[in-house]
Amino acid sequence: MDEVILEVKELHKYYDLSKENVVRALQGINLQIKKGEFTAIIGPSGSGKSTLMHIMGALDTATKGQVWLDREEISKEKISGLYKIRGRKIGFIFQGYNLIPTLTALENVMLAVEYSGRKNNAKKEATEILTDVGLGKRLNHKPNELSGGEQQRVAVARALVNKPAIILADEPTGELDTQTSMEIITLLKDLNKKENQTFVLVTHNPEIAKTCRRIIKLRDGKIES
Amino acid sequence: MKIIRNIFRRKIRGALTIFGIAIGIFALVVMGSLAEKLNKLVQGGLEYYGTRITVQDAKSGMSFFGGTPLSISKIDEIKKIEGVKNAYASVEMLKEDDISGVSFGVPDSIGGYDPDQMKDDPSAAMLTIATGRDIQKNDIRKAVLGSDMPKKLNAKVGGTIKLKGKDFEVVGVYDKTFSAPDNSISINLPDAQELYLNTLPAAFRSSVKKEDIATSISVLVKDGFDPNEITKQINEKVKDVKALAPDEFKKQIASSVAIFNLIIYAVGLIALIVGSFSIINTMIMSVTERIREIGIKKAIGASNFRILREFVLEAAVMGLLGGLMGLLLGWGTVRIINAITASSGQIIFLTTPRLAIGSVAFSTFLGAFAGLYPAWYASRLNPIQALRSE
Repeated sequence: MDEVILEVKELHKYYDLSKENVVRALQGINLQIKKGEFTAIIGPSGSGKSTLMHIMGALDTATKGQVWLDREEISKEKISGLYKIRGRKIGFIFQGYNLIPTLTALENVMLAVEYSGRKNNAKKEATEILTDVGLGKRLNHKPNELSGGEQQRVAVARALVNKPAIILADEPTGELDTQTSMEIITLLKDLNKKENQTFVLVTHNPEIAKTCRRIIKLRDGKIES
Repeated sequence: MKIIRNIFRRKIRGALTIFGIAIGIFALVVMGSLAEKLNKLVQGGLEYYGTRITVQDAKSGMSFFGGTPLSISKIDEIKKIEGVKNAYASVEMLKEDDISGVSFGVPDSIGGYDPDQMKDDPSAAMLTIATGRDIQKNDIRKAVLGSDMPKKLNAKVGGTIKLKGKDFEVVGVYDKTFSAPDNSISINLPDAQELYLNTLPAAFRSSVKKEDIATSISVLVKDGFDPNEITKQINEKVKDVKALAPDEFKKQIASSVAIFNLIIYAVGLIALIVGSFSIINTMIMSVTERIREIGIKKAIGASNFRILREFVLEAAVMGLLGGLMGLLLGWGTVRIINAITASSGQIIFLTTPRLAIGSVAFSTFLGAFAGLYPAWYASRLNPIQALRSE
């Protein structure tokens, strides 16, 4: 139960906008996420939440420091090789659902299986997981034929389908009304409980943050508490 | 299926791009069919004429028909050369003295041969009888028609045709060869000599003996002898003649055909290159519209190569669809024109399988190539920035 799934050591990220203007987005972040944890990262805009999530999600590289995911040091990888880690070990849920508009719900989820390199049972696995999130009857609908809540469920299914080490959710309820937001959070918490799936939520919604067992507060690129 | 859906996200744009390629391929198929028909004609002619040494009068140009007559007595001199299997005379002339007006391909011709001598000639095996019979030794004023001739002359076996003012009975029709013999009429040698004599200027006529006329002498070489060597010997030992070796003959023809092919294909190619620019344009627009999508794909694990492949494939499919459409249009057009001109006995176009497959394969390749830059650009996008784009 107490296995560390994600560890961040002395993480720094600087953006050189010009010679005199260096933005220090992250300044020495240290953080451990254990398997099965449900964590929220909160903080005002500009606090470095998104930058931290991008680096933990292998979308970006750090200027200094280490990131370990599932006992593998991903901060050693070159940016061009990070796609493998994203495909196999990380699931993303975005604020704007970010589904491919021309693909059906099923195809959107299958795409994640294909990109992970395991093609064998893409259709079966995608169907199962969509049924689990309550979309068994909407498999062949395209995003524009689904409600916001349904689209976000597809995104959840897509993040989940490869059984990643960690799921990173960036403002997952940002575009949903209060009731639908709570439904999505409930869904995530169910998955967390049933599958022991690790979640990290980035949010600035205190209501959402309150439902999480652990809250990490970020301010000016540093962990406040 | 996913690729097709992507292409037709913007239906009109996708269709227009494909149509642009289709026009290019259409031009290539139509022009190519013209070239292929010509090549086939020439190829058939090469097989027909290219298996033997052709001996003509020394003053004659590089012409198959007419030219200055040659004396049949040269045959005996040629036969004395070692390695010569047989040599026989033929009289060949154009059916019409004056060919005016535009005509494609080989003009209609009359050929007079000695049927007994022809039995030895391997090239004669190319000509097989479709209906009726072939020319025989003692035939007088009988004719066998090349396969395109019955339509042109409105004649059939048993009917009568006029050649240089004389009546000939049609006794047979040859099978189609898709080459020069389709437009020729075979008659017996003495008949041809008579017709030829009448075409000569009156003053010249009295000094020529009818039985002595030949326009060319065909020389067949024994197995194991080099035709080029024998050609050299004929040129050295027999006076007033010019012998052309099969190789030389082929070379001359091949170089003039090559230039013609080059011009014809260049026209089609230019049309296609213009079409491929529209693919580049469409793909660049398509990438710009889908930047966010590319970001999503990268975030969920697509490699740069995977993104590159998706876009290149999409461009290749556009090329393929355009190619198929162009082929269909071109092939249809060619068939319609052929059907119209067939009534006058002329087939202008020939769409060969290699042309069809080649042009579709080429447009697919061109599509992929045109998609390379936009795809490369897409594959290099930073996923975070791509995800932020609207």
